[in-house]
Amino acid sequence: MKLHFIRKLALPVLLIAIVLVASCDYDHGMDPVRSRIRGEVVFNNTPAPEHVREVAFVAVKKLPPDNLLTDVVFSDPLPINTDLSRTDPDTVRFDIVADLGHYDAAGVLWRRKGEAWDIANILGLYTAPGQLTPKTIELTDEAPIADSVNIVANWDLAKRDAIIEGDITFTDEWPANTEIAAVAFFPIIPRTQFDYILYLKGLDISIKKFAKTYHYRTAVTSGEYKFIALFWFGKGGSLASIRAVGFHSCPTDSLWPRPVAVAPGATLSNVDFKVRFSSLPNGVNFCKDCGDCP
Amino acid sequence: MCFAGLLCHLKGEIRVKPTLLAPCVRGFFMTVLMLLMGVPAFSQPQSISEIHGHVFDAETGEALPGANVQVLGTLLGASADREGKFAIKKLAPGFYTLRVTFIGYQIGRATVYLTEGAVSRVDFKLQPTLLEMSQVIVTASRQVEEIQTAAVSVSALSSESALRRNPLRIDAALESIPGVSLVGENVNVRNSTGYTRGLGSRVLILLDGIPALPSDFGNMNWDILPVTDFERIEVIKGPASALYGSFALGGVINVITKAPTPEGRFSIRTSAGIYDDPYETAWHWTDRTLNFNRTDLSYARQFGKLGVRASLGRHESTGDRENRHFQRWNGTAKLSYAFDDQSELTLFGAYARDRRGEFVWAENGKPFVVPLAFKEYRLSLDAYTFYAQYRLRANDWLEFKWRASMVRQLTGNQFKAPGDFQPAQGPGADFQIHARLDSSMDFTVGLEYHYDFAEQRDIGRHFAYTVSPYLQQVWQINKRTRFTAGLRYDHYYLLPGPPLQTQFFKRKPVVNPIPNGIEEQYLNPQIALSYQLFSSTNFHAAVGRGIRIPVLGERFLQFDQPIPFQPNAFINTERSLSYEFGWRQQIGELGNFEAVGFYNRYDDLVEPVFVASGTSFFATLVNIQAAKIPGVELSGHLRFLNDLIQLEASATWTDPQVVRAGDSDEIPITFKDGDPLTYRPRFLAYVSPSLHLGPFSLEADYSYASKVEVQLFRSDQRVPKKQLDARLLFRWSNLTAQLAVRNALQYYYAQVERNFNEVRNLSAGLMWEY
Repeated sequence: MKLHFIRKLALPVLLIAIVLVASCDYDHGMDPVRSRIRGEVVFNNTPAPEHVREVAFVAVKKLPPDNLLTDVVFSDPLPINTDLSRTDPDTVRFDIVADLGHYDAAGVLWRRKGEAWDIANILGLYTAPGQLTPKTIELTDEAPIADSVNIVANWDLAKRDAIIEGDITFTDEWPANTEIAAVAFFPIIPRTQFDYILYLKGLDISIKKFAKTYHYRTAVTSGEYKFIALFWFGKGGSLASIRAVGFHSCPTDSLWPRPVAVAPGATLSNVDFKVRFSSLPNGVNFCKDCGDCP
Repeated sequence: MCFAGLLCHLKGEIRVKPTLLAPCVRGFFMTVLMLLMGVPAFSQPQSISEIHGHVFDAETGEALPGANVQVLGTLLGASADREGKFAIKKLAPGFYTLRVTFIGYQIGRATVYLTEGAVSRVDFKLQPTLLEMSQVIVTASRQVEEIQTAAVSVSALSSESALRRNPLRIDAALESIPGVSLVGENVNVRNSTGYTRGLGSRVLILLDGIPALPSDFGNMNWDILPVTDFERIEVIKGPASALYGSFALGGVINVITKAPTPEGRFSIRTSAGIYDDPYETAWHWTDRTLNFNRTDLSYARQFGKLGVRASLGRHESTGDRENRHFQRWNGTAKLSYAFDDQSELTLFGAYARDRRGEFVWAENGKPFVVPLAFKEYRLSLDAYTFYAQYRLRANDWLEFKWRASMVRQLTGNQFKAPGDFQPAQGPGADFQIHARLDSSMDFTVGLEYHYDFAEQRDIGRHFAYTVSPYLQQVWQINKRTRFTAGLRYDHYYLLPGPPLQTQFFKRKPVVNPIPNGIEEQYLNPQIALSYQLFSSTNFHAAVGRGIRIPVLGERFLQFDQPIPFQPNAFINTERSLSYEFGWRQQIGELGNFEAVGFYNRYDDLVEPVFVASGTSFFATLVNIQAAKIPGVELSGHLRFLNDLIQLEASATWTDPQVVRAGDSDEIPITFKDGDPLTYRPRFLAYVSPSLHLGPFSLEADYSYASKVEVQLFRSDQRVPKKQLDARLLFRWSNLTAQLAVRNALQYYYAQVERNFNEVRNLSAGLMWEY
């Protein structure tokens, strides 16, 4: 009798319970990420080389990053070699979710087929107008979206079929206001600011700051390089503050840039040089009209 | 004590008085000697006493064809025919205890006294039950035993209990088992496995007692068997390498397939459902109606001495997110031929074909969309499993089993890279002798051989084999106390290979890091004790070792996407040492509960790490020198108000922790001492209440898992798992109809980074048996 009564009662109780439960407000677990970085990438010197597997916009929390997984936010791979019938075939928009916080730099990286992402494979950096140094990004609760993070990406920087490597020895103390140091590769000895931009064929910004020595290994386009140097950028500095503080020089004359040549697919080693920060603010006074080593 | 003493004596760790050991050791060696001399030596005089009877359902009075009747203390037994009749012949005069088991029913027992030439009749009326402890299992000791008195921590999930939850694959049914959780597609028993990204499992998966893990990657293909085809799933929670060797580091899952039924039985199970939109509008990604469906047909029948069971299934889904679509087919066939009462041949084959998209992980902030680079990722899998088993019962105390098996899996088209794939093949063989020396002593002696062959685009061409003799003793010391001891020796040999491998994805020769191969030997003992304080109260304790030899994929796999993976050919075999103590309690008609405390220590645990290399990075595998997973598990199944309400509940707390990370000259180990082990929730809970009103049942499953530590995308938000599923069932005669909702509260979590749980979905299903 009692059981029968309970059975009769069970269904209404259950229905009431379902209505009560359904009317409650629940925790739904994960929240959408609201902070974002948006912008455009304009590709110069298209099409992309055959050996490029993919390209992505990256925002780097700490430069140079200790770990590409924790310090770098990657976008989806960006479309490359897009439909030429488009009105802006070389412009790609991106919109990525990025955690709140500070980003030292942002840029466009390319990845070679069969290889991993490499922070040295830069096509372009997010900079302020008239600057070559990376511009930082801040995502805060008040301003969770960074818009107009526009970047010019130069495919010439990916046309790299050879590797140059060597040791950089820092002979004196790094300036405390160091923003970034980068190894740059030029087929000519640059004389003007325009030369630095027009003839830049390789750039490695992964140089560890405040190190005593550093072994660099950078992918470059095969061919002859007349000037391989470490450039220093000071905090808050402008384009004009960029200085070469060391370069690969002839054994007989330390101010004479030593030309090197690297064949397609080859690795050229022992392209070493010394760096003297004491040469700042003007930088190293290297020979600009020199030919081959005496 | 005697066999344990023998084991310890062999290892030289414990000294036992020779006078105590002598009779046992002598008995054991006499047994082995007699076994080697031949079967006829054991033939006993023909006896003509017989036991006949029926097995019925106590509530409906219907016959229970297929019910298993055993004569305890012997290896004799019989199955009920289509009218529920059974007959056991050739019994010597004396007292016998019969035990009758049938899935979904309480165990029945009866004691019979037989005089010379007598034919006794015993009828059994079995009470239906869903209580897990009222079942028998075979995995814990390779012998039939009752869960209530098993000496190790073990659970079982019956087919009926699983089908109520309408799982679309077997692995989805496993999470209702206490201490078992799924992280990605990895089955975890008490947090043993974590998440291996498809490489290896720390839980051995068996199909009818036969290893079912593929030889290349060692991860289970759960599509190989439809959910309608298993009779029960048995889970050993803790190392069981003393019986099963490699992989049984954290536990064993044995899927027991259904046998052909005495009466012809045709069944069809079909279900279809639709996915809801994600809760957050920011996550909407398509306007299509996403759906899934599954249909399984099976037929089973006994034709005289020949039993046949066959099934065919199709499973299709658009997926609830991009690249989660699939189309799967599978077919199974099982043939059994009883030559006479004493010998039987069983052949089983299963084939699965899977064509699917590969999700890998979601784009950041868009959890149901894959990154652009993954959009073309597809995967094809073609797998088959085959085994043949011949069982010969020489007399009422000696039985032989021969088994040959093959697991073959062809993985193809992975990560947009078609071609150059060859199947991984794992043939195996097992010869086993089971001797019941008297009513209190059982011995199982066996020799297992397993061969692994992989010739795969991303692995290269490699071969390995394992030869493993094993011994197992079960000693019923007295009415209350049962002692189990096991020992297995595994001799593993990775065969020498060419110094250059040319099968790699890069299509250029790759140096074989271990051209001379590897040879390793392992000895894994286990001892366990079960003590029945009262008829309803049982305590058990066990100590055992486990090993897991890395699979070929772990040593040699090399690919460049989605993350570059570098092989680590020299990773060590993982080892574990486990202690556990448990208490099982029947609470009259109310139900039962179990409490277990355990401490698992792992040496050389293999974990993936993501390593920065200069300005780049890669993933590889490393050994963590020492780790531990202590824990406590509580589980229970209660019935109230004459089964009107039932409640299943379990809670597992563990503290998975790196004890000593160790170091490596070549690969930085990113773990530190004291770090939590990744992808392992410290707390798991499961509650499943159900209300039964006549033909209707309303059921719910609520599962909770605390948030996990991950290895990639550590800054992503992480939340605990909280999932509620509910269903309404209607049973009428042979028809069961079901309406089910999964993830009813639209709660989202990601135990594997950027892999959200299933979107809320509603399904309807029908199952009809004739």
